Formats: sequence, structure tokens, C-alpha cells
Amino acid sequence: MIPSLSPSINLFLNGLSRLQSTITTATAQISSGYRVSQPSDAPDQISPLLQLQASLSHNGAVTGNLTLAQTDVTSADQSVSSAIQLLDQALSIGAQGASSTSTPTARATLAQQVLSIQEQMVALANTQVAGRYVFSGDQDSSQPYALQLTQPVQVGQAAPASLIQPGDTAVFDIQTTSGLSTITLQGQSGDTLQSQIDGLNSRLQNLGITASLDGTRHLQFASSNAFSVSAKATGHANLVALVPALETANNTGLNYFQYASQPPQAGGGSHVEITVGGATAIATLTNPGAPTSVDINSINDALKAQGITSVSAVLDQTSAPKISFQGTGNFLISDDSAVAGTYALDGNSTGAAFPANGVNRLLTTPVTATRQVELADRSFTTVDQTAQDLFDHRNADDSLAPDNVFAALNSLRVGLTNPNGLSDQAAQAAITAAQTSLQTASSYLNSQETFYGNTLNRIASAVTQLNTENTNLQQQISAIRDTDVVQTAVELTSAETQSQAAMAAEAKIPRTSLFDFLG
Amino acid sequence: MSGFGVSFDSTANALSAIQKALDAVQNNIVNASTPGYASERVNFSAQSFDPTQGLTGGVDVSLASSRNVYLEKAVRTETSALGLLEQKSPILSTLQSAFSASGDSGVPGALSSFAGSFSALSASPNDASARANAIQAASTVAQAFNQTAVQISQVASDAAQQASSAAIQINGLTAHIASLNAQIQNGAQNDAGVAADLNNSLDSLSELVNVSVTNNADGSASVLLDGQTPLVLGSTAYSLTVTTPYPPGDAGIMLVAQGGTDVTAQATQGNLGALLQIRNQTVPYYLGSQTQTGELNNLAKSFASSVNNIVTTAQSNAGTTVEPLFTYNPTDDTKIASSLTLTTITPDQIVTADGTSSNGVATELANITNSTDPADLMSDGQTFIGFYGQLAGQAGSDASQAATDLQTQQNLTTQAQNQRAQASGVSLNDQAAQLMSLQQAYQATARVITILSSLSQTVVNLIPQA
Repeated sequence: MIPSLSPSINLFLNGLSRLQSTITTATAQISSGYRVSQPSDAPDQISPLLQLQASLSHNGAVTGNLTLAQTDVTSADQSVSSAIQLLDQALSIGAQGASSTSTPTARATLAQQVLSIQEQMVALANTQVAGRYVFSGDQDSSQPYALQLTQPVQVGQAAPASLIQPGDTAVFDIQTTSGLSTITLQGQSGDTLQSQIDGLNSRLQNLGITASLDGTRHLQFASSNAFSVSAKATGHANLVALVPALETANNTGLNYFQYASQPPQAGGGSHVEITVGGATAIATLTNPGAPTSVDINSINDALKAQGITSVSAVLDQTSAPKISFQGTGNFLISDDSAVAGTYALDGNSTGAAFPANGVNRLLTTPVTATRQVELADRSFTTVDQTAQDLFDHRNADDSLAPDNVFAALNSLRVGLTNPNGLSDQAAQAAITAAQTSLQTASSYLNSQETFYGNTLNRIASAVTQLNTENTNLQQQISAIRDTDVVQTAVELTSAETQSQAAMAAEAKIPRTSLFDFLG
Repeated sequence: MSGFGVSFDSTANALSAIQKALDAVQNNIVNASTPGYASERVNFSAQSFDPTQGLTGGVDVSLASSRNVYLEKAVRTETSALGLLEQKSPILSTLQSAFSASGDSGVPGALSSFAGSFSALSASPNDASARANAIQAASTVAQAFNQTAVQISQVASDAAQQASSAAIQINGLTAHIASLNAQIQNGAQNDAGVAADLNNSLDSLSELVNVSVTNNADGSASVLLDGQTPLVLGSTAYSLTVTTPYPPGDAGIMLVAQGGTDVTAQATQGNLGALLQIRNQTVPYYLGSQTQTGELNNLAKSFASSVNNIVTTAQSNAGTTVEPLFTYNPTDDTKIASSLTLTTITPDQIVTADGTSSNGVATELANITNSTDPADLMSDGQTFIGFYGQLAGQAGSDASQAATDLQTQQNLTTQAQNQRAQASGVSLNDQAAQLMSLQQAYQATARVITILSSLSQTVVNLIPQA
């Protein structure tokens, strides 16, 4: 076709379209605030833009991690400060106890105060932030310590697949100062050792007692208070022995254990094993349902044959005939594991040695704190210390270090308690020695606290630097991505003016031809 | 009286010639808006006039088309280039939308979230929810790659479909041109209407694909694809077909001429040229073909391999079950981005510790988008994010260039069309001027006849009445 009236009409339309495109783009840029909203807006800037945004995002994550670490470190620092204050209180109590005017009654009262401090110290070692134990190092989902003023009470055979096999039942009678509590556990298909221990612990929680496995995978119970446990099982339960070691006011220096055997079922065995150290004595019971002196002699002969002199059996006729064991130190009684019957074990012991530091390590050793936090300069720093490092410092051979905080507190409490009935003078000397340990421990904690101060400074510095970097990154991103509103507004106005001018000019062009003037 | 008679005849012929010219003007005016129409000029030529020799003079008239074959060719060339860009620009715009220009969405957003999740895990290596979040973030990365691959594949599939449609349109036009050639060969060579239809069809054809047109002596037009492959010869049209010669999944469509010859390389302009370019060159750059893996697949593979290597090395060192984080089609490198997926790895199977720290592995994964470790970089030394940015930039550059070129080409085409219109269009002013001129000539000639008639009457009156 021929554009007879205005050959340039298409050029005009092309130009108008270009102006309209400019107006649309400028409007979109102003309304969104972004100059770059799709790759074609600045193809050569997309890669640097995305890299800058990734860096900003990474910095945000690093800053977030540092903030979290800052919370952890601040809490840990506060806990260590509180621990130092507790040691100062303990030193003050110790000074009172070491005074020549102190009486056993007064020292017993002071011992209770130290016990409270020990509880607080363990609570500090168990400080949590957002559900994480800040002194558990790499095992921060687990509690690091529990107060353990007695030796662990062990129950059961070593390394069982589960405490109680499916279909079997175990009954634990827990005697505390509040009374007798009975916990019954039923073995279920699919149970694991840990799931059964967890189930037991959930039931023990109200009693202030925790169950765990010791290093030889024996079930053990622990509490900061005196208690006794008796275990009774039916079926193929692995609970066949109980070695209690409870602290009581009536310290006789003896372990006492009663074994009430019931008649085995048909096909079952009828012998008992007594293990002390690495030696095991095995005796066959002729009257397992109602033991007689024959059975007692048989057991004692077996003990002698194995050279075991620390334990002996006696016949207890107080109610139904029972075999009682007495002796010093720890010993393990086990029934014939093949017995498919019902038997009962009762524990009632006295005189066990105190754990030297009064706490139970709950974490798998070695406890490490290797978590590293990234700093602004892309270097890394460690922000954690473990409760083992701070409160339960050990020598290379795992013996207690002189600056062990838990041990110092426990030695003060033991000194004040005077469990061995020492003279006042000797008791005061023991307290004075504990005072020295406390001072050493306090110095140690003070020196360790500087770690947190330095770490907090590093974190604060890194956060400041990251904030500066973030500002720079945001500026760079803004320079690439964001709309220069003033410039774009000028472009928009200019395009609108040009568009209006073009249309006005086009409208002015005469639409007549020579035909309009023909007569 | 014979002199008057000759004059009468000569003048009457002149009136007839003027009438033909008026007809031409009228036809030009009514076809002023007819696509492909070129105005026709009336050429007057004086007949020999020498009364002494008995040559009485007069005027001859002939029609001539104002069509300029060079300007027609120029218009078709520019139209082909415009057809290419008009087809290409919106497709490239769609293609670039598969890539994110923001670090908050698409693959870069997913990569940043991945790094952020593992950064959070590095802060709390034993936190079950942090582990679950990290797994979820990895899944999001896989999905982002899948989605990008699907979007680009859709562009390829649409282009292939449109190419088939374009071939069908081309075949329709060439068949019509062949039928017009037949009319011309059968005597319509001077038919301005047929010529207009023919040239309009050639314009439409050139928008679809690059053709060269040869005007034959008989008035018909021969049409060749890129000057090589015949599409129309005389009254015969030769069809084009778009086929998929390669196994499904491999990029590439083929343009086949009648007879089975592969003429893909000849279709370089027009709508079809654009579609072949998009399908056979642009998309394979990202998603691969028989001869290349595709850069998006390269990126997906490098990222997945780096992550898997970090994860499985840590698992192996820890003595736990070795389970990588990502898996993909192991037999087809052109399907890596589309098949990238999370394995059955469980949160507790992630090992966060390396030999130095409890969160070393998580930290390494958290830094994977900014790492300078050669193991965590693309083969050209770029980071994963940087490499993605390069791909997005390439898509953006292509789209931007096409849009700019389109604007320029629109002007060039318009200019060519205007030049053609100047040369062969119908100018109403010209036609009006011609009309007035012809009117005057007609009036003058008629006056001559009137005078001749009067003179003849005078002469007749000289004859004494009987």
C-alpha cells in the first residue's frame, strides 16, 4: 500500500512506540524502585549483582551465627562469674568451718550450705541457651554433669541389648526420704537399650534420680540424695544383680545386700555368682526357694576357693529364709541368667566411698569443644569451653587436677560432714586443706574467664566489621540495582514531553490533498 | 474536407488517449491502499506530424508500472530481518525470565538459602531442626534447577511447534505465488492486480524466511530459499518441512526441502530463521545437545558434585553410612539440571564435623557460594553464583540485543518501505494534479473538435444552396 497522505507515518509510529516504551520502563522503575528487575535490564551487571547479594546473604548468616555465639559466650561468661562468686561463698563457709570455735553441729549446718553451693555449681555447669548446654562442647544437646554424692548403683549384666526383653517385666522399688516409689517397666518389641533407659529416666525424674550406663555398660543409678533401689524382674530380664553404695548417716563401712531367691521354674538353673574385681565365685543352691545353712556354706566355700575374703554370706531368718551378703567394697551378685523364674533383689547398703568430686560425668569422653565460628575476615575462632575444662579439670591420666572446682567444693563438704568421725582438730585441718583447694580452683576459674572476655571482644569486633561490610555491599548493590529516581523521573518527563510534542506535531500535519480543492 | 476529417479523427484519438490516462489515474486512486500495488503511469507520445507528407500527427498512450525491483528487493531483505527479530525478541524475553536477576529467587535464591541453612547448622551442629532445614534447602536447590530447566525446555518446545507452523505458512504462500505465476504465464503479465497480489505475497513470504526473488521475462517470479533452494519455479511450488531428526531429548530441529535435503542452515532470517536459531543454538547453550552438555547442566553437575564430595568424604571419615545429598541422571549429561534431586539422605546422616572442628563440614557447605577453593568453583574459576550470573547475563544480553535490534530494524524496514512508496506508491496529490491536467487537455481537445465542427459547418455553409 502507499502512504499517500503521510509517507512517514510508520516512522512516526515507531518513534512513538519507542517513547511509550521509555515511559513504561521509567514508570516501572520508579514504582518498583529497581532499575534491574530482569537480566536484560543490565546483562553485564547480573553476575556481580548476584555475587554481591550472595556475599550480603553470607554476611547476614555469619552475623547471625556470631550473635548466637555472643549469646552463648555471654551466658557462659556470666556462669563462670557466678561460679567464682560461689567459690567465694564456699571460702567464707570454709573459714567458718575451720574456725577453732566451730562445733560438729555447726559444721553439719555449713555442710548443707556447701551442698547447696555444689548444686548451684552443677546447675551452672549445666547452663543452657536455647536448649543447648553451653558447657557440653560438641555434645551440646546433652547435660554434662549431675550432682553425684554417692558411688553409682549398678544393676544388671554387662552390655545387654536391652534392659528388659520383650514380654518381660522389671519392677524397681525406689526408697527415698519421701517414701517408697515403684516403677514398672514392660519390655516391648523394638525397644533399645537407650529407649528403655530414657523411659526409666522419665519416671525417675520426679525422684531426682538418674539412670545411665557406666563405662562397662552396667545400669547405674545416681542422685544427690540418699536412696536405695531394689530391682525385681520376671522372664528373661537382665536385671540380676544390684550393688548399692549409699551414703547414710549410719556409716558402718559395710556393704549389705540381701538376696531373696525364689524357686526356679522347671528347666531353670539354681546357682548364684559373686564377682569381686576379676574373680567370680559360683555356688549351686540346693534349696533356692528356702535357703539353708547348706547353701550358705556352699557359697562361702566357693568364695574362699576364689580367694574372695571381702564378702561373705549369712542366713537371714528374720522372715522368710533369705541369703544375705555382707562385706566391704563393691561386689556383684548375679543369678543364673538361664533361670526363667521370678526372683527379687533388695539393696540396702552403707558405707561406700564418696565420689571425690561429688559429680557424675554424663557425657561421652573425651569431651571436646571444637565448634568454630566464622569471623568477618573469614578466619575462624573457637567460642566454647567445656564444663570439664572449667569445673572438672583433670590431669592427663584423668585424675582430678588440683584446681578442680567440683572436687574442691566436695572436699569442703566432706570435711564439714566429717564422715569418718575425725577429731575436731583433724576435721578443721581437712577443712583448711579444702580451703586451699578452693582458692586454687577460684584462681583457675578467674584465669579461664579471660577466654570469654577475649572471645566477646573478637565477636563484637567482627560484628562491627560485618556491619560495615554489609553497608558497603548494600551500597554496591543499590548502585547496580536500584532506580536513580531523579534521573528516571527526568527521563520520564522528557519522554512524556516528546510524546506529546510528537503527537501534537503529527496532528498539525494537513490531512487534505489536492482533491479537497478541486472544484 | 478531407483535412477536417483527418483532424477530426486525430482529435478523437487524442480524446481516447486522454480517457485512458484518466482511467489509469482512477485506478491508481482506488488502489491507493491496496497491498503490493504500484502506481501506473501514462506515457503520452506524439505521432508523426507532417501535413506536407500527409502525416496528421496525434498522440499515442501507453501504461507503465512504477514498480522498482531494487527497492522491492530492499524491502524484502529488511522485512526478513524484521521477521527474524520480531519472532526472536519475545522468545528471548521469555527465555530470560527463566533466570533470576535477584538473589532472593530462583537458583541464586536457593543457593543462598542452602548456604544460609548450613551456616545455621554450623552454629548448632546437633540441632535436629537445623539439620532438617538444611535438607529442605538442598531440596529447594534441586527444585530450582528443575524449574529453570523446565522453563527453558518449554521455550524450546514452543519454538519447535512454531517452526512447524511457520513452514506450513511458507508452503501456503509459495503455493499461492505459483498459482499467480501460472496466471501471469497465461496472459496476465500486465495485470496490475495480479502483480500487486504477487508482490504482497512475496513480502509476506520474506517475513517468514529469507528468500531471493528473480523476475522472469514472462513476468513470473522465481523464489529461492537463501538464493539456493527453489521454493517456487514458474507454476511449481516446492514445500518445506520441519522435522525432529534427533532422539527425543536432544536439542535440534531440521528444515527439510522437498526431496529430503537438509536446508536448516539456509533459513537464516525471518520468523523461521529465528525459531531455528532459538531451538538449535540458543536453548542448547543452556540445556545441551548432541554436541554440548549445556551450561545449566554444567552448573548443576559441578554444584552437586562439590556438595556430594564434601558430604560423602565427611561420612566416610566418620565411618558412617555414605549417602550423598544430590543425585541426577547419570547417563545423560543434558538432563542433569532437570533430573537433579535429593537422595534419601536423612537429617541424622549429615556429618557436620571434619577432622578439626565439630562444624567444619557445615561451615564448608555454608561457604560454598563464596568459596575460593578450586574444588568449589566452576572450571573457568567462577563461583557457582557468578557462573549462574553469567548465564543469566547471557540470556539478558540476548534479549536486550534483540529488543534493541528490533527497534532499529523497524525503522530500517519502514525506511525501505517509504523509499518504495516514494518510487511506486500512489500520491493523491500527483494523481489530482494529473487529473486536472488531463481534464484541461480533455476540455481543450473537445474545444478543438467544437471548433473543427464549426469550421466544417462554415465551410459547408459556403456551398450555395440549390
